[in-house]
Amino acid sequence: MGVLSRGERSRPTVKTGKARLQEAGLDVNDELLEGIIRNLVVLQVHAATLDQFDAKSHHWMMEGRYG
Amino acid sequence: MAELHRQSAVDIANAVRAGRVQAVEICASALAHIERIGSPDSGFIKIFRERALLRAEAVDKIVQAGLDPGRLAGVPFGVADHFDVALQPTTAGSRLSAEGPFAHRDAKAIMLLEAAGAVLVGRQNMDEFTYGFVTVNAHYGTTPNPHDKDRLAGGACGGSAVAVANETVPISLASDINGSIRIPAALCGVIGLAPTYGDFPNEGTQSLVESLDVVGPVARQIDDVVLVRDVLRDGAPERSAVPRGPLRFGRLKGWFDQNVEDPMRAAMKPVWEEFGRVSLDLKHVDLARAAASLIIAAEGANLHRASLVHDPGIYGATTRDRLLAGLLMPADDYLQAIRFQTWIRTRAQQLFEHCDVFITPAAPGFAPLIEDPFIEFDGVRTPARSHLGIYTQPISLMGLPSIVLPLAHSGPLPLGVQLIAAPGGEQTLFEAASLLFKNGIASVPGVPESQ
Repeated sequence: MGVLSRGERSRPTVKTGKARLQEAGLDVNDELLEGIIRNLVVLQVHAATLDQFDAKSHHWMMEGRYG
Repeated sequence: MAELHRQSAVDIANAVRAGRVQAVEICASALAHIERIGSPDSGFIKIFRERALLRAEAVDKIVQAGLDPGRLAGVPFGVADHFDVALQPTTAGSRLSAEGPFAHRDAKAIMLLEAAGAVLVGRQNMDEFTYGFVTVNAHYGTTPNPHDKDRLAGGACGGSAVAVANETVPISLASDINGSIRIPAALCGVIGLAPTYGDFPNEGTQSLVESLDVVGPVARQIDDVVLVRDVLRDGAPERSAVPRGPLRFGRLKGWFDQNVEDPMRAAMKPVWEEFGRVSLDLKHVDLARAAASLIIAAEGANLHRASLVHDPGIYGATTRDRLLAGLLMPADDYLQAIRFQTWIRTRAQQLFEHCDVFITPAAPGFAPLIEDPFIEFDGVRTPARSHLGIYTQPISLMGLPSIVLPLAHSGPLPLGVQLIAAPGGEQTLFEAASLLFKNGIASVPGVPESQ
């Protein structure tokens, strides 16, 4: 089993986005999906930025960054 | 003589309390000014004419009876559209609640200001549910910048800053999750305070993200900000004292030196010469901004889930897309953001061991054009709606109070400087702000004559 970092996750597409919205209980028209996916990608980028923070130990993986 | 309502809150209240002018005159003058400019350009989208005049009459009767109506006697004010007003639907820049339900009572902050004699005249435009930095509202229109009608006012609570910049009212109340008070204050050339979380009551405001949202004032005079804060805190003891001796200023570099546009860089030069001798290259600010964005997306989406399921079409397209994306965020991402927030808040307090106040630009540059609502971010053309708050967002996540002041030498349009203190350090911010005004570094610009 491999676990990807947040930055390595695959990007959502219209197809996967629609499926995930349906899993969440929302049936969204196809024409709305493009904007939603664009915003979801932005959130993924933010999540990837937070990969630098190790939540388990609250220890910084990039030691020395804090001046 | 300038119209009465254009004066500061302190001056209006003094005049009303002394019986030199009637609250009804002030109120009528403010209402006429708002109507002359019209909606949404005035910043107001709903006017409570009858309520305001009745309230002003009551203030005058108290004065006539030889009693004191309070420290804000006769001062007209507005609130952002997400504050409850008794017997009105709280629309929050949306159509979702336009037909009701109706608020049982005023928001606590309105009650406190009116108990001190102030007069609520109306509610002000904002981005839908405060989700944005532009005040481009799909339902109530775009409130433009009073200094250049082709440019954005900033947001989310742009109407509140515009109304104060226009001099229709001396003070507005708004709220700030990420910069919703500070960004429009910077772009419209007024003062905006985002206090420490919990400093003011936020009961009765329809907040998108309750864990970050703070109620705060917008004003043209620092004395008015101090007075409003005093009234809103209702006698609560201060959490920290102003440091003894001269204030120690510091410049935050790193993230706050990046993406600064040339006019802002030039306007900040005298600030750095006077107050920037000590500087700190603050790390992890990119993570703070990322965490703030994730928390807002997740909490906002969760709050609106039922309404999104019921009728997603009732939302403006931009808000709807952002909220629906938030619904798809993994819980792990949200929790990571929360854990980071806890960590950085502890670290942020250590910043103040060597400085009392840190200074940064409030926004990257001048207000962007309404027709071209983008800014450069790391070399990429990026929507202003989501990026104007790059210097305010991380400060909110760190739990630090901050105040934005207009820079005196900004050029053709307003630019703002952000002062940041330790939690509970509002009085320190006020002392620092007064110093910047006294030194001529900060100054509130007038708006064009047509206003």
